[in-house]
Amino acid sequence: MVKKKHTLTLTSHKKTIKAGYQERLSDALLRAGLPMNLFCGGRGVCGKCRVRVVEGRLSPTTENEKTFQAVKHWDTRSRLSCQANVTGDLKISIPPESLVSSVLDPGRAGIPEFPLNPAVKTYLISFHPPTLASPLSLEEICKKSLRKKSIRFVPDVLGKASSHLKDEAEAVYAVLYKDRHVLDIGFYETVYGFAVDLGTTTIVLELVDLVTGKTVAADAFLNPQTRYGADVLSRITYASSPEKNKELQDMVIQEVNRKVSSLIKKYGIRQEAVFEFCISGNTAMNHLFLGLPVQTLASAPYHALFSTMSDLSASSIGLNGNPQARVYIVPNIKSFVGGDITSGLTAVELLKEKGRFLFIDLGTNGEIVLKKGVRFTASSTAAGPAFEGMNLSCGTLAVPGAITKIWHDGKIRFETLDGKKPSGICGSGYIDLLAVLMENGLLDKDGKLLTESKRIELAEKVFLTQKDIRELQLAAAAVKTGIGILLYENRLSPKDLDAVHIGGAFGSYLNIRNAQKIGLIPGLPISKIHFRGNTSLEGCRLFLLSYKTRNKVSEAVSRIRYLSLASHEGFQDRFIRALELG
Amino acid sequence: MDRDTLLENMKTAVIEGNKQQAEELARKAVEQKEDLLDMIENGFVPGIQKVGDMWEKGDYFLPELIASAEAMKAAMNILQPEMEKIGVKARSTGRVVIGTVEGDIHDIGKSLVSSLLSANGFDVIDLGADVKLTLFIEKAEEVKADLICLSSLLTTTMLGQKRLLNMLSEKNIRDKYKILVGGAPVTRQWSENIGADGYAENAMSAVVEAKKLVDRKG
Repeated sequence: MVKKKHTLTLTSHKKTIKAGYQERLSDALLRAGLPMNLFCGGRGVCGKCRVRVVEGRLSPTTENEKTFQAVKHWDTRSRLSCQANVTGDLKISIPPESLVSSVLDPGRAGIPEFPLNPAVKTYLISFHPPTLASPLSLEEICKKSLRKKSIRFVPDVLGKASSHLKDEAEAVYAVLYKDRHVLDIGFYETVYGFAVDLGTTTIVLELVDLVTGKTVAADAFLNPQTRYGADVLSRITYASSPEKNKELQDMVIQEVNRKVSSLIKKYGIRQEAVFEFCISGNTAMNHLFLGLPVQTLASAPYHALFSTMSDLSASSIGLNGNPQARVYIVPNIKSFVGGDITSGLTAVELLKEKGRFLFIDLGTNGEIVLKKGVRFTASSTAAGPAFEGMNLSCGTLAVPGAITKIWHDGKIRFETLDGKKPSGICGSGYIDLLAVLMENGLLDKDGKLLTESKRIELAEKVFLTQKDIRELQLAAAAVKTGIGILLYENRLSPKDLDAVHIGGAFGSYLNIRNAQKIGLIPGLPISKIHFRGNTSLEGCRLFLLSYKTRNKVSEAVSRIRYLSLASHEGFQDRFIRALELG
Repeated sequence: MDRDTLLENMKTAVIEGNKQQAEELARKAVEQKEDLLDMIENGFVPGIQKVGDMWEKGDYFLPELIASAEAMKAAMNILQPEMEKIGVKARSTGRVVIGTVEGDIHDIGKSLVSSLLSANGFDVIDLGADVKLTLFIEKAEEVKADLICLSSLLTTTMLGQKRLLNMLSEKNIRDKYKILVGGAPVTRQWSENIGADGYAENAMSAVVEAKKLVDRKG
């Protein structure tokens, strides 16, 4: 144990903490409960954990820090907490954007119609207390009342239910799972479930009334695992030992528990009334959620531990709800195409519709699924997090102040989220900007800026550089190449497609024409291109409310062919060609 | 065509990534019995150097870089056999064994580095992707390489770079080779931590770094 002999005064938080000599500053801050934004996993490459030295000194400035100081016009007192070590007593201030905070509102898209048939249902039971003449057991009474002989009990439920035998005046309900297992007996006029979109970056919870099928409330928050890296791979790297694997699992489960309990408290719902969780996440996220090792996902031949998981009890993974609450994990397609895509395909009804469709989920990884008749081909492209604003000099997620739309009317104009002062540019903003620059002859198809300064200023400290354009070209090319190879392998051209469905990160801000102009989306008539918002969440809610869909989906998913783009022989040439904008 | 025009055109052909033109000029040089070494060093090489500058400035991107490397390679494929016939050897900048480490199937960045190194006069032995660590060492020993270049595109497979360095030390042959590491998740700090000799952020800087390392090796 290193002795913590130095005192750090956080002027921004009116707080003092202790740190050891040569201790990494971010470690000391995290330990003190400050959720530093270690997006890149502490590699010093995202510049999101900046602190400012008010008094005192840190270890010498690293090359990475010097780069950020130069590019972002930070003064030399601005340091990256993941790079600097404590060498003595210190006064620092931490800007709010260096701390992890809640982001985004859950998107809402038109959902397909389906019969309400949740796995968890509640039935009113009439208790006829046992008589001396016919001393029926509680179990028999329930079966009789529910008119179902095949139902099953666990001892705990019967034990708890026995107390209700005396409450003849009250309406007592039996909560059944898949019309077979009694989860509880009690005052459950309404029961609830949660649809959980377990995103790599953002987690969205939706509290759903399982009796009416209506959404009661929703909450979106940052996946707490992001402090160990923005992308899936850095988290897999972090989960290198069973202990760290467990740490990542605990972290996300506890955060979900916290958000669940604050949401139900707000609506006056008891924890016992929560009976099911549907989890829709990519393969690595759902493996980590279950505490399963993830190493095989990150090394050739890149395989998962499961595609379809049996239903679980929530308590077995530490989720809070009714003691008998269940968990359904939306099945994965393959290691790089997970349950979130299964949900997406379900939400856009691709699993049953006839025709030729393309489904694109644009996030850190761009997953693409092509449907031709009854055949599905799925693929994943390492687009990188550029469209989420990472690795770009002024990139940001769609948070208040982010520039979401850009247009030109003789002058470049923009709009920010919530009309706040511009603080950065988000994915949809960058796409608009590239399109606008091309239209105005300031950017050529090769991605070369034709302006004298090689830099486009939008607002104070918000700008676009030549290097940003290169990053965006790479990200767009990855998606374009993926689409191109899937079409090629299925002997289709874009015009053969009946529709393109787009889900994921961009939400409603993406301008389709501009996305087509830079070549990100195939050039089809706009009427054929549909924005579906957060399809992972939409599909997840559908599974929660219509459990028969689950049986079909496992079978459908097992038929989807996975195509590895990186090992496709045409990949390199196509990728290089796809770098051209348009 | 006189010498100066030939050299100027060669330079332009490489800068513009015009493979056909580069080949024609190489053939013309052979026909005219020009000093081929002079053609390479004062015609094609300044071209590829200019390409490097344009990359640095941000004017050129990967497609332009690749086209230029291809043009260079095509010209060299014509000139080299001719030079061998008359017993002149083109100066090799150095001998490189390159590949993407095991567990990682990403090929594109590594291939780019590989062709740029060739274009810049290196002898390149490209082992491909998902290459067993032992194979890097076997091959380097076999061809008496100066430089081993390791690419990793996944944070998980980066560890393979570290393991390879350990293996070299265990075999007591660490000093025989300069080790250059790269790939999207790799940073300078990582390369220093694992004790590599050099780090390259992108394909063009890999060439610059490789040249430095070979010079230092002497």
